[in-house]
Amino acid sequence: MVSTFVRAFSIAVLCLLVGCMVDDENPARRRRRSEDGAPPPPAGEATTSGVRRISQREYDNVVRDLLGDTTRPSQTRLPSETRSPFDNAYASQDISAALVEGAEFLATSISARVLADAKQRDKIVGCAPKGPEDAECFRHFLVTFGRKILRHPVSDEELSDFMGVLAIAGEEKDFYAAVDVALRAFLQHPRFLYRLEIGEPVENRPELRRLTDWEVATRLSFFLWGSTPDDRLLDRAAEGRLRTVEHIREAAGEMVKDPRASELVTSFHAMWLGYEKLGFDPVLAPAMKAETDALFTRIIVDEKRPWQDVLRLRETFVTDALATHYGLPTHGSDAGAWTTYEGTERRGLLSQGAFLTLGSRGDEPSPTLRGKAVRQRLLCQTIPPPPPGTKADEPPPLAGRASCKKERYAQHAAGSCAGCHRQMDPIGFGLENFDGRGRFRATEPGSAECSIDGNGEVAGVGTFHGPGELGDLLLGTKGLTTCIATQVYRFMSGRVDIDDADRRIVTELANARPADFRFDELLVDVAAQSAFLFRRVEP
Amino acid sequence: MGSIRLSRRSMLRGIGGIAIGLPALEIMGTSEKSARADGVPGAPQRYVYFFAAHVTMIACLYGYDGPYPLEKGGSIDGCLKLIAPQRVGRDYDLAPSLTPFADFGVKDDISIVSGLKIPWGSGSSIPPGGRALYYHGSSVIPQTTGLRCNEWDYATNQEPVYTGPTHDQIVADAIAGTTPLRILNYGAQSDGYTTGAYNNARISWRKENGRLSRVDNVTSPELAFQTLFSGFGGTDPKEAALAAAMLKRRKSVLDLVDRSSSRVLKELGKTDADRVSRHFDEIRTLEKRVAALAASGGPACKRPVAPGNDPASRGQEDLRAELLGDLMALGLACDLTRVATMQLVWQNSSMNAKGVIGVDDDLHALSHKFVWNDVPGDVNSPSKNTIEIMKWQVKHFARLVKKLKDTPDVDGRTVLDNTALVMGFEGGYGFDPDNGASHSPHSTENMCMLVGGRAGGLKSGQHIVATDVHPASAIVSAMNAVGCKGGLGDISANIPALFG
Repeated sequence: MVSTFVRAFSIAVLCLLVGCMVDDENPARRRRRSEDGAPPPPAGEATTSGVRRISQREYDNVVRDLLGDTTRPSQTRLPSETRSPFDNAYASQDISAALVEGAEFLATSISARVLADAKQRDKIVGCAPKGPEDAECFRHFLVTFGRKILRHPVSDEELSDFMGVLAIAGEEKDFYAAVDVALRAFLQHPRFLYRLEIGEPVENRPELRRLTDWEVATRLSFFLWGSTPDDRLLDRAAEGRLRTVEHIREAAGEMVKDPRASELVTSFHAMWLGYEKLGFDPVLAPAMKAETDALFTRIIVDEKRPWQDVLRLRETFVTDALATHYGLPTHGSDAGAWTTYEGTERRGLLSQGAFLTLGSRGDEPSPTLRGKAVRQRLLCQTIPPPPPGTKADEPPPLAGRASCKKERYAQHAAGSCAGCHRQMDPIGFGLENFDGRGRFRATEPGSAECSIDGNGEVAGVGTFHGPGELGDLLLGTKGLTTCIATQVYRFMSGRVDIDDADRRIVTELANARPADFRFDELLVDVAAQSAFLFRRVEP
Repeated sequence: MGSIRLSRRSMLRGIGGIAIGLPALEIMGTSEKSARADGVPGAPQRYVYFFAAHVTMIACLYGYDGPYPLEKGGSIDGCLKLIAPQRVGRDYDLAPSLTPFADFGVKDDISIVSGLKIPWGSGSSIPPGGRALYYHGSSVIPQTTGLRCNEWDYATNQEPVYTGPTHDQIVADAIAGTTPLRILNYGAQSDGYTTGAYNNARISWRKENGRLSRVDNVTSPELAFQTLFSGFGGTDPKEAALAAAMLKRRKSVLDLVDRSSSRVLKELGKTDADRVSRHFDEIRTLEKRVAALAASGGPACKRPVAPGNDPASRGQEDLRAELLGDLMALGLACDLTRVATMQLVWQNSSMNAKGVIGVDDDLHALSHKFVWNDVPGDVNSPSKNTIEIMKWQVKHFARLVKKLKDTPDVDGRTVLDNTALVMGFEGGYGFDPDNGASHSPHSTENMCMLVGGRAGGLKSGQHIVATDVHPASAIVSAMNAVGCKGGLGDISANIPALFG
C-alpha cells in the first residue's frame, strides 16, 4: 500500500520535473534482505567505504571525551572540511601540509595541557610511576590508553616501539617526558586521525570485506556519538559482541540513550539543514541556533516524540532578544524559554530564524534559493545550477521603482527558465511573509504598496500559505521520510554520492517507517542491519 | 641584520573597550650568520601572491534606473574606476581602492597593470587560458594556472576542476631550494559563516608525482608561528639546553608516527593507500625539516615572541591577516621560505563584513548591492562598502610591501629589492557573457593586477595599461623576475613594461 503510493507519487513528481530535477532516491527497486546478521548481505548491499579523516567536530569531541580538553582546539587549526552537507564525506577530503602541521601543533599543545593538570594526567596514565623509567607503569599506560585513542589494541610491534621512548624519560629524569612523547605520537597516529576500515576477506565475495570488531565499534560510535568508542563499547568489541545484527541493535539501543547521542542529534540536524553556522548578529545568531537545537532536543531526545512533530510544534525556545526580534511575547530573561506561537502563523522548524535564513543573504530572502533549499535539504532533490547565459547570482532587476517582487520574479516563470524555477520560486513565495532573519512583514520593505500575499505552492504536491502549512504539505509526502533516511545514511557512510545499492538500503529503511516515526529508532535501524557489518571495497 | 617588527595590533580592543597595548617585538636582532638558509652568497629571491575577492573595479552611480547605464544610454564617463588610475606611468594617481599605498608609503614600490582580460567561451570554444561562462569560480583557475577553466559539469553538478598546478607551487618547485619550508599558504578567512569550504577556500594546487591535489590554507597564526619558529634556541645556555631537549622529544614523536604510518600503509588497499599517501609524504617532509633544524642548530633569526592566542575565527579577520602578514614577512626575511601566498577572503564568500569594514552584511551581498541600488550623492552609498572591502584587501598587501621595504637583506639592499609580489583580483568590470550586460562586475574584462618589489629587475611604481592582455602575464612577469623561466600554462608572455 505504502510502496504503491510511493511509486505513484515518485513517478508523478518525476514527470513534472523532467529536464530539471533529479530525485536522489529511486524507490522503484526493492528487495527483501535477511535480517539475521551473521551472513553477508546480498550482492552489492553493503556500504562502500574508504579511509576517512576525523573532522574538526569529531576531533574536538574525541579529545574532550578522552583527555578532558574542552577547548575545541581543532577549530581553525585543522583545515576546514567541505560540507556536503555533512563534514565527513571522505571523497572530498584533502591532505596537505596544513593538516600534518596542524595535527602536530594540536598534539603538542593538547599534551602540554593534559600534563599540566595532574588529575587529568593521572587519569589517563592510570598508575603512579615508581621512578622516571617505570616500565610497568608506562606499559600499562600504552596498552590501556592506546586502545582507547587508537580504537584498536596496540600491537606488540607498536608497543615495543613506544616502550623505547622510556629512554627519554631516563635522560630527562621525568617519567612524564615519555608520556608526552607517546601521547603526541598517539595524537598524530594515522589510526587516530583517520578512520581506517580495512576489514577481513569474505569467502567467495571478493567485493566485500567483513569489518573487524574494532571497526564496527568505531563505525557505531562516530555515527551515534560523533566521537570515539568508550570502554564499554570497546569491551563489547573485545568480547566479540558486535558481530550480529542483534548485537548491534542492543549496543546501538543503549548508545542512543547517552548524552553524546543527544549532542549528535543537534549537530547532525545543524549540518543537514544548514544552520550550523549563521552568518550575522552576535546576539541573535547564537540565540537562533539554540532555538533550533532546543526544538530537536525536545522532540527527539527529551520527549521521544516522532520526528514529524518538529514541523508541528506550536512553541519555540527563545531569549527575550529573539522573542522581540520575532515579535513574540517576551518572558523577561536573557536565557531561553519556551514561548507559545499562539496568534501567529508560525509552527515548528520552518518558522524559525535558523531555517528562514536559508536562501537569504542579508535580510531579503530569495524565493528561488529558499525553494531550492526546501527541495534539496528536505526532499533530497538536486536542482542543477542555472545554465550558462543566466545571471543566477542576482535577483531579477527592478523594472521601475514601483515593481513588486512577485512581478519581477515573473521573469522566471517564462520560457526555458520556467522548468526549474516553477519547482523553486512558488515555494519561496509561500514563505515571503518572513524576511531573511525570520521577522514577519506584511509588505515589502521600502514598498508599502507591495503587499505580500504569502501564497505558495510545492509543484506537484499542493498549495500552502506560510511555514506551518508548508510543513503540513511536506509531512504528506513520502519524499520527506525518504530524505531523512537518505541524510542519515549519507552521514553514517561518509558518502554524498550514494549508488543503487545504497538506495536500496535507504528505500527499505524509509518504507519500513510509519508516517510518524522516532528518529532514535531510525538511527538504530540504520546500524542494525547486516550491511553495517561489511564494507564494499572501492573499485 | 636589521630588524623587523612583529606587532600584535597596537590597539587591540578588549572586553569592555579597554585598550590592550601589546609591545612591538624586536625579533631579528643581531646575528653572525647570513639569513640565507643555504649559505650561498647573495640574497635569495622571494615570491609572494595575494588574492582578493569581492572586487568591483568600477563604480557607477546607477540610481534606480539602472542597473547598467550603458544600455540605458549612460556614459562610462560617469563611472569611477576603483583601482585603475587615470594617469599612466610613474606619476599615476591613486584610485579610491589604492589609498593604502599612500598610507604605507609604497606607491613607488608597486605597479598597477590595468586593462587585462581573461577570454571566455563555452564547451570546446573556450580559448587557451580562457574561462567558461558562469562567473563565480571561473576566473581564478585561468589566472592562477594559465589554463582553461572548463564548464560546470551539469551531469554531476560539480564545480570546474583544476587541470594543472598553480603558479605558486611551480615557483616553489623551482626556487624553494633548501629552505625549511617549501611554501607558506595562508588564509585570513577561517570560517565559512553560512557555508562550508569548497574550491573557493583555496587558491593553490600542487602537482607531485603526477597527482594534482588541493592545498589548504593555514589560517591559525599560532600554528603558522610554530611551523616557522619551533626549534629556535635562545643564546642563553639554559634556554638552549631546554630547546635541545624539546627538539629531541619532537624528533622522537615524529619517528614513532613515521613507523606507525608505515605499518598502517602496508595494511591498506590500493585506493585507500593512494588517498592517504600524501599524508605520509607530508610527515616525512616534516621529519626532514626537524632533522635539519637539529643539525644546523637553528636558522639565523632569533625566535620571536609568539603572537599570542589566535584571533576569533569570526570577526577578527583583520587581525588574522595582520598577524599572518607579519609571520610571512618574517619567514621571507629569515629565508625560512621563499614563496608565500595569502588568500584574504574566499570567492563568493558569505563572510560577514563587520569585522573588516564594520558593516553587518555578507561580503558577496555587499558587492552586489552596490550594483543594484547605488544612490547618487549618498554618503552611505553601497559603493562605499565595495571600496572599503577592496581597500581592506589592498591594505594588507601594501602593509607587507612596507615591511619588506623596511627590512635590510643580506646583500645590503632590502628584502623588497629581492622579492616579486603579485596581487590578483577575482574579476574586473565590463562585458558579462552570462547575461550580455556591458558593464557588469561579473566580468573578466578590465581586470587589474598589482606587481610589487624589485626582484629580477622589476621597475615597480608605474601604471601600465595592457589592453586585453591575460592577467596571468603579470604572474609570468613575477615568476620570471625570481628566475622561474618560461610561461604559465597556456600563457607564455610576460609584460615587458614591468621591467622597464
